[in-house]
Amino acid sequence: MAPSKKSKATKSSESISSRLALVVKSGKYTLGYKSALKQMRSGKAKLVLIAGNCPPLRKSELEYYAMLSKTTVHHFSGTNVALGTAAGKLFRVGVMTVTDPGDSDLLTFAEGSAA
Amino acid sequence: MPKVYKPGKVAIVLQGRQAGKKVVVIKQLDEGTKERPYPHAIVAGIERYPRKVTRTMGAKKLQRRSRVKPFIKVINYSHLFPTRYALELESLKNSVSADHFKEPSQREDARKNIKKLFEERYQTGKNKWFFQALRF
Repeated sequence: MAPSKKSKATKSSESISSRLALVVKSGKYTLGYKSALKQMRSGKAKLVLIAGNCPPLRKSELEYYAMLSKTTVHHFSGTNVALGTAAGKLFRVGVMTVTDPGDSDLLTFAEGSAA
Repeated sequence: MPKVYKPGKVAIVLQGRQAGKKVVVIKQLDEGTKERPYPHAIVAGIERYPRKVTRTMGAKKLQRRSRVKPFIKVINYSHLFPTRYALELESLKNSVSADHFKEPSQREDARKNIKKLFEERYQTGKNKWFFQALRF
C-alpha cells in the first residue's frame, strides 16, 4: 500500500508540471499575485496555482477570493522557484493563474484532486 | 466563473481615507468609463459606525449612539476587498448614481438618503456584521 501511494503522489506532482508545460505552450495564463486577483475579480480565472512557500496570509486571501469567484485553487507542491521552472520561466513565480487551458486537461485534473 | 462584485455585496475598503470601512456595492462598472478607464464600483459605506448600546441606557442616549454617518464613493476594484456578506436594499440601488458625484450638494442629498436607509436597517437588527466596526 505505502509504496504504491508514494509513487502515485510523485506521479501526480510530475504530471501537474507536464500539464502546466502544455498550458504554457497552448493556453493562456498570467503570473503574479496582482493579476491573479484581477482575473478572479473579472471571473476569467479558471485555475489558480499557489506555490508552497507562499506566505500564509496571501494564501488565505487568494483562497477567499477563489471561494467567492468559484475558482479552483491548486496548492502546488513546491516552492515558487519550482513553480517558476514549471512555467518555463527563469524567475520565481508565487502565484499562477490559468485563464485558458488550451489543449491541456489541467482543469479536470485539478478539480479532481481538489475535490 | 461568476464575477465577484454584484450590487448588494459588502466589501471592505483597503486604501484611502476610508480604509477599513465596510461598504455596499451599489453599481459596478466592470469596463470602466472614459474618465475612469479601470474597473470600479459606486459604493456606499459607513464612515462612523453606530456606538455600542446597552440595556441600561435611556432613550435619548440610545438614539444618539445609534447614529450612522455614511459616505458614497467611486472606488477602484483593486482598493476593495470583497466579502461573503451581502446587504440587500432595493432603495439603495436607485439612490446613488454616477451623476451624484458631480456636485457636492448632490452628494449631500445622496448621503442624507443613505443615512436614513442605513439607520433603518440598523434598527431592524439585520446585517449586524455590516454595522460593526472592523477591528484591526
